[in-house]
Amino acid sequence: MMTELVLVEGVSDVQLISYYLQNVHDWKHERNNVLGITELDEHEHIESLSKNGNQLILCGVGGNGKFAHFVEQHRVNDMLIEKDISSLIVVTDRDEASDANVRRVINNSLEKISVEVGRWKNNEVEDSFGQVKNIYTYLLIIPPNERGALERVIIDALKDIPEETELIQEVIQFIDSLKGGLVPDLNQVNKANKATVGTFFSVRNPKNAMRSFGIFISNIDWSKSASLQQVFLPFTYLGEVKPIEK
Amino acid sequence: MAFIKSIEINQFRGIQRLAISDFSNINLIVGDNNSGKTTFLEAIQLLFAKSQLSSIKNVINQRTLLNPGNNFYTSFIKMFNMEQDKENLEFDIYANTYTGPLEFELRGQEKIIAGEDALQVSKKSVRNRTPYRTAGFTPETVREFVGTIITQNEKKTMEKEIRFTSLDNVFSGVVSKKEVHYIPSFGHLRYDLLQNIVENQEYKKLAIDILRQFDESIKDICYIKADDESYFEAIITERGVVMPFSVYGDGIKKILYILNKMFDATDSILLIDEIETGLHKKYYETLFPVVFALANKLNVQLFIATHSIEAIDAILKYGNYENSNRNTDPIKVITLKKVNENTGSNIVARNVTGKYVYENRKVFEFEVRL
Repeated sequence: MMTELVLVEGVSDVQLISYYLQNVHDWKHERNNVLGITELDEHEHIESLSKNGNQLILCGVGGNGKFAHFVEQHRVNDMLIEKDISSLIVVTDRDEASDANVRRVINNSLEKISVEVGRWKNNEVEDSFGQVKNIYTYLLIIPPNERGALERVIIDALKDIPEETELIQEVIQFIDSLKGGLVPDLNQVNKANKATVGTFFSVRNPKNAMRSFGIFISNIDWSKSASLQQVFLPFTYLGEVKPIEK
Repeated sequence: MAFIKSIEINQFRGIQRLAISDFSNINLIVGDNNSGKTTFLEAIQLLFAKSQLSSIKNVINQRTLLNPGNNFYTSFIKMFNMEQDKENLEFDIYANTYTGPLEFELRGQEKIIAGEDALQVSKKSVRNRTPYRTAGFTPETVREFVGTIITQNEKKTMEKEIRFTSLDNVFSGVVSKKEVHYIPSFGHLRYDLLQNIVENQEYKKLAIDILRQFDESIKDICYIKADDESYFEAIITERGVVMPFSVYGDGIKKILYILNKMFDATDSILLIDEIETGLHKKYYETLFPVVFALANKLNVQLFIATHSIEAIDAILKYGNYENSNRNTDPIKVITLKKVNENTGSNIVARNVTGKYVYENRKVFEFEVRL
């Protein structure tokens, strides 16, 4: 049985990835997690999924820049050594940073293991009994090849889904039309992307317009998005043997 | 005082090789059933054993407390790790202490000899040999062990040749002040719980104060002379009623047993096997701080084996980790674990501070017992 740990930024990331894994890869929601890890404040969000006896613990660390804080508060370095954890995936927004910069920030918080961007790494470590074990790591920066954050990935994914293409294009144009005068803040790419995603979901499900992001994403068939499947390719290997380049 | 800093155990019982260092004043020994906790406690006792069979028998008898009829020879042979070459049996225990090294080594060979020859070798008295000589009683073959006990206590090394057979069961030796004391899990079921308490007014008052936290009606503890002139251990209540220990539950007896041994263990080492046995968990937080404060006062190094997570958590509270920033931790938590890999060591140990365990247990399921 494998226990996989995935650290992501916020609640939205947890909800999207959790729904995606349930919708596309047949993971099932679990009430408890084998690590016994729980939220320490209202900004954190933790969900557990299981599949074929394997368990995946998906932790929203509380937002952008909270990774180090979460790792310290939850003693993730001790947990990785003491518990039987097969892999750690870190999913973080790119925003304006380079691959090297993001990797450095994440690795600064990790003690006995490290991550590489866009590929699985096998970390051979000694547990506190002096026994050697392997922990596989992966750093997924989203979007992979452009500036932005999760919203950019969602917009690209929606463009791929035939039922959603027309509406997302309309919303993009609408948000663009506001940049000139009414809402100058939308000239910032991240804010425009957030507004696009928020507007899209509100229009797509007006009945649930005031509900949570989790409700919105559960109404989209993400399995039809080739771009999202490409971005989330590392999740294919959760609960499976990881592909390590020789 | 021989405060143990580190230990190495080789080929002793189920342990092929185990090395642990950095012990503290309070050492919790935890692990799954059959992970070697009791064996570890026995190894510490053997470090202080004299180079004579009676010392070994004392250690073996503690394990067979509830089944004293066990044959000594069989129990003795089981002290060797049976994975090793059976032609040459040996085990070795080595420790570093603040006053120097300690070592206990036992090596030799086991062979089968004729029953008649065995009677010549046997330690049995002439009278005891007679039944064996009567028709049908002399066994055709008997197992014999020939070997050497080597002990090193600080700078003094002793070596003694030993030879005995499976017919032998009784060995006498010198009883001297012990440098290590052992509390077996069911030791409190025996009596003689007051020996070291009633002779010292300070200890007695302390023991009564502790007992009163569990039962306010207790006023005194003493030996009472029975009608047949024998003495029995009793509790005197506030109303002056004499209550023999036999009417009290295990909890009171266990507390007295621990205190009695603690007083006896002044300036030495106290080993407590399954400290939780006989005690309700609601008393842990009352008893343990008293035991640890007393150990500190009496200069006793503690090795405590336990299965109970409630006991572990209660012991960790003594560390006061929320409010303390001291550099040294009085508590170490040593987890023993069986491993299947062929690494030359079938049992491995994790030795971490009490603070490490306490802080991890707050945020995730850090299982110390495994």
